[in-house]
Amino acid sequence: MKDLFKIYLRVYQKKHIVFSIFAILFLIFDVLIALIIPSITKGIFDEINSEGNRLSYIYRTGAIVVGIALVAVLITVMNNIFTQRVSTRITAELRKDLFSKIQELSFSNVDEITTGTLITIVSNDTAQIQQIIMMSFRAILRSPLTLIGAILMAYLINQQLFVIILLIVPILSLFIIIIIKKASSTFLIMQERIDDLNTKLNETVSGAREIKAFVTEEQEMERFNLVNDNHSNTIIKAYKRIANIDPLIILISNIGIGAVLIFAGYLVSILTGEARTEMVGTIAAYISYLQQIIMSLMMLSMVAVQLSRGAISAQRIQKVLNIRPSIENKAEPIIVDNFKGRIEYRDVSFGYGYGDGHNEAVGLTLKNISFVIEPKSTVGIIGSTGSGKTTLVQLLPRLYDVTSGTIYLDGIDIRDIDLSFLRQQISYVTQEAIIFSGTITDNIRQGKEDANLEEIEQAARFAAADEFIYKTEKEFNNEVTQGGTNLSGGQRQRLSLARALIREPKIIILDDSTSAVDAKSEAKIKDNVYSSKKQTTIIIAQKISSIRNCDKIIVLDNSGRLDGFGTHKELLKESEVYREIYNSQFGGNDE
Amino acid sequence: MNRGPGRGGPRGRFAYFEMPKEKHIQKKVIKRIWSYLKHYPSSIFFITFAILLYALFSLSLPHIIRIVIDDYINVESVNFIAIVLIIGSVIIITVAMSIGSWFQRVLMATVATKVAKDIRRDAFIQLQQLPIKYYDKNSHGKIMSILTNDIETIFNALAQIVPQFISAIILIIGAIISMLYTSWQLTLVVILLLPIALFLIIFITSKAFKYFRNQQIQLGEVNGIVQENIMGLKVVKLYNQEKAMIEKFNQSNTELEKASYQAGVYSGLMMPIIRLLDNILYSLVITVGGILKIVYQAVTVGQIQAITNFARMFVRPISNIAQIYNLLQAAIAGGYRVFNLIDEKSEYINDSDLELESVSGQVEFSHVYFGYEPNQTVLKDINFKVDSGNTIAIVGPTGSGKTTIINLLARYYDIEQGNILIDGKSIYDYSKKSLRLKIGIVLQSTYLFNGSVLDNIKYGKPDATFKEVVEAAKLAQVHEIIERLPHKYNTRVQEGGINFSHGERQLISIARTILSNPAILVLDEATSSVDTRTEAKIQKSIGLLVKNRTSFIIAHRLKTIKNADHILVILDGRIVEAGNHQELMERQGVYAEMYNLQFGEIQ
Repeated sequence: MKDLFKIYLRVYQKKHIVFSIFAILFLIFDVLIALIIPSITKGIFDEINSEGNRLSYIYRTGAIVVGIALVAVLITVMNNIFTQRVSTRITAELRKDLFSKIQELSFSNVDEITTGTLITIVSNDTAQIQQIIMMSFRAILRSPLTLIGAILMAYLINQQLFVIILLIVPILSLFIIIIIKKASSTFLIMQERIDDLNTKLNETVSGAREIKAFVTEEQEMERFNLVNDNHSNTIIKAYKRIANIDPLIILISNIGIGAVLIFAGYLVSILTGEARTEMVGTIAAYISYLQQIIMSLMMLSMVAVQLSRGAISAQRIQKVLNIRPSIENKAEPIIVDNFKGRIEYRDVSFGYGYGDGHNEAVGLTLKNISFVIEPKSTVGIIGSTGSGKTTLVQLLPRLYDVTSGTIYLDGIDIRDIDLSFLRQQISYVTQEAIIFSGTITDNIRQGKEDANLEEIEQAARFAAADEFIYKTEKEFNNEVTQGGTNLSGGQRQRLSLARALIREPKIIILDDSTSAVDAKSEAKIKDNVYSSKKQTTIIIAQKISSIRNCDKIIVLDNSGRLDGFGTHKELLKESEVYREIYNSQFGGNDE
Repeated sequence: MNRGPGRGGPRGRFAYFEMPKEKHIQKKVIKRIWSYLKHYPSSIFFITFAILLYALFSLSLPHIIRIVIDDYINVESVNFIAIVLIIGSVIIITVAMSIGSWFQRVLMATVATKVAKDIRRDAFIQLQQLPIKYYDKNSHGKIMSILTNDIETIFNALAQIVPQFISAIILIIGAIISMLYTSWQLTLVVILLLPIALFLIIFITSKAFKYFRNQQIQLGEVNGIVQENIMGLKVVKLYNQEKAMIEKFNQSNTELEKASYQAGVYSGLMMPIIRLLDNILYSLVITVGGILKIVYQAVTVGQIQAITNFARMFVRPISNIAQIYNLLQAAIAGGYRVFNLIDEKSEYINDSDLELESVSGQVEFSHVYFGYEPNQTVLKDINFKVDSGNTIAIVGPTGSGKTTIINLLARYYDIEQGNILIDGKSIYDYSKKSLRLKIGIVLQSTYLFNGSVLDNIKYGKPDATFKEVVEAAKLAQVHEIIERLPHKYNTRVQEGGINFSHGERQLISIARTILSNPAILVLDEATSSVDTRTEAKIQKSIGLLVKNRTSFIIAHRLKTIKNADHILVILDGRIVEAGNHQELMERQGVYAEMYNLQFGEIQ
């Protein structure tokens, strides 16, 4: 609830306050009119029923009711316009804040929250908040106002009949609270069942090949039926609980009407001696107020359900918004003049989750690593799966920050260097090529925003991507689908390489980034990129053949320690891990 | 009700595409939904009955009030019969309305849930029948959206449409009859206002529908951008694209804000307009009623009061029907996609009943031609023969058609021309399932199912003993890794195996295939994500595995296939070279070139 309130306070920010005040003002008018109408019509009934029978009075009052109704519509519409303005704008702001926040999130944050949940937060949870803000200018204010107003009006019209209302309100409130409490626990279980169902469906779609390969269709069907039955049984149960409200409302509202009729018709006239005919208008008005009271109580119960849902959404939103970015610029970040690109790792250790103050037990992925890479040299990194090769290079563009030790570029701690300047100097080509929707040009241009067509073509050629690009119908203007699904794995990798090359970086890191590229293209890339010696090149590879000609090779052992740093020949002598890898690839090779 | 964040991927993303415009298709979808409803005839009968009960008794309430006012309150003498009458009718009406309302709600929720369950079951059955082609062509998100969002839409619509429609009809007819019975003059007043009411309601409904649809589309856009952004966050950061991304997002976000504002404003018109109609009717009835009573003595006060109540009962259902129309549109759009999925051709249609019995494993491709798209041939005249127990390797650049050969062997896709034979018999003469049971495939990207590691290894052979599982895991070099897990073999696999590395998943998948002991083994880049040291170890196991078993190996690292009995080199869908390693190296062709590129520098 605290989080919900925090978000709700945005309503009173300067830029929204005028709209908000108007929305609330119109709401108050609206409630007042709804309260006045029954008392006006009471007058008509009294008039019709009286001896005087003045037609003019009836005309006048009829006209007044129509006039008021017209005004009421205007007021409600105005309330709605202001309400929508505030609620949609705040929601859009929330989405924007969330999206901007996502850009700052560290990868451990994203891993923890998961992509699916983040999307749900940006779309569903904000929509939930929109509902709440809308309700805050309607039901949340309207129900209590109408409730109090209707009670007051009923009291003013007739004090004797007021006993009925005094009895009905607390009883009805109590019942509604009990039923809502029961139902909401069922809804929690329902949510779990929905999750179960979605998980099972997701699994079947994702694992379709496996299911067919192992011919387990029937087994899957049986498991699914179980989940499907469970799901629908829970839903039916929840609906049964909610349905209990209906008879209750009917019962109490009918008892109320009956009581009004009896009281007004007999008891009051017996007690006070007033003529019963005088009571006709009062009866009509009382029934109206009674219905308003019951309606607002029901609305309040719905508000309660919505608020509890909104509170969960607000909590999720605030959790994301409250994350403090772990990687930021220092107060006065350095922009290095005449940047050369000398890299030094000094006693670097790293563990995932350390910076965010949790997962301390996970342990260090990299331990006390030191080495120096001279500008324009080519360095290979090798080690078995999970030895920390990718982690090691991701520290350089500060995708993660070191846990201890320091990384220097041209002798300056990289944490002191301007972040966007730092990243501008380094092109890191990831293992899994990440491609965005848009044209091929759009994707390559991400590397250099003002690149002209010539530069783009050249980058594509260097990345051996030109061949397949020219084969497509629109060449560089060919549209790439989201995630690059209309390109093959090798094509995606070459495209992402072109994006990396176009900025002519001082340092390029290739993280096994040609794994899906065919041997011929790979050879071309090799010539264009690392044999050219235009920049410092760091290559992570599985195959020794890819890195054996490097100036230096970094060997990581299974526990994240540096096992060796030197040339191929040196390492064959010095590093046991390197020898082992070498033998696994070339051992028994009689060629 | 049935809402909230699920794991079904981005919601609403595909909510409004592929909406049928033609009336006859719309009718067909409605008929189809009805065919599911039809399975519950007694429930539908009782629902109608319950609604009738509820509607009739709520219609009787104004009558009672009128009688009480006119005959008992508005006269001079005190009549105690009236008290009994009031108490009695309140009890009867309350009981009848409660029963009606409760049963209507519960029965309808039950029927709608069951219909949704049935549709979901049919869709799930269909998931098992769909050819791999369908999964390749349609995105995961789209299929999930059909299975979750669209079925949910049908459920929500059904739960509201049926009872609202029935009760609207009963109330409209009942209210008109009641009004006519009470006073025909005042009824006329109400009916006169009807055209204006209809016009306003239909206008608002259609506008609101249009804007809601727009809102859905914009929401889809926003979701798409968010998803892409998170997936590519690394690149966004590395290339300093944050600002560009936020700009791109802001555009869509503003569009969404606009769309949702418009949808809100228009749909928000409905309630005040209904209230306006109510109030105008009210004052008209009372004014005209007053004149009728005072000047002509044609009506009583009770009658006027009753008509005002009936008028309200008359206007509400009309607006309800308008909203039903919107719900129906949504249900049709959802149903259209769901039934399209259910109606996709099953891959088991026209499948042979003949079971493929024990096979020795001789495989032959005879002049096979194939293309995924009608005029794009991927494989051309593929012709080869593998003797039983032999190992055949397929090499070639990405996109040359290696995996396609496997897709054809397991009949994930069917060939256009030529034949595929096992033990000299055409595989098309046997049932697909019996064929697939003979073939064990380890894929490049492996999917693990929810459950324990043990469940996953046992997946292809549910009755395997623990000892057998451990043996298979040892052969796949994954036993030690599993032993290091927190709960060893009982460790839970999360969401497709995200808590395991790519390499670990491949190893588990190899264990799974070893356990199922297939006659023909297919390894499609099965160790591509495993480091070379582990791979070297697996090679030994694979050596044991392929012994005396026909095996297909597709691999990028040529080292792993050097010992194959037969190597096929594929280029642009054709076999350009074939033979064993020795022969191919001597030939100095494509294979030798590829091999030298990978190893040449070492000599």
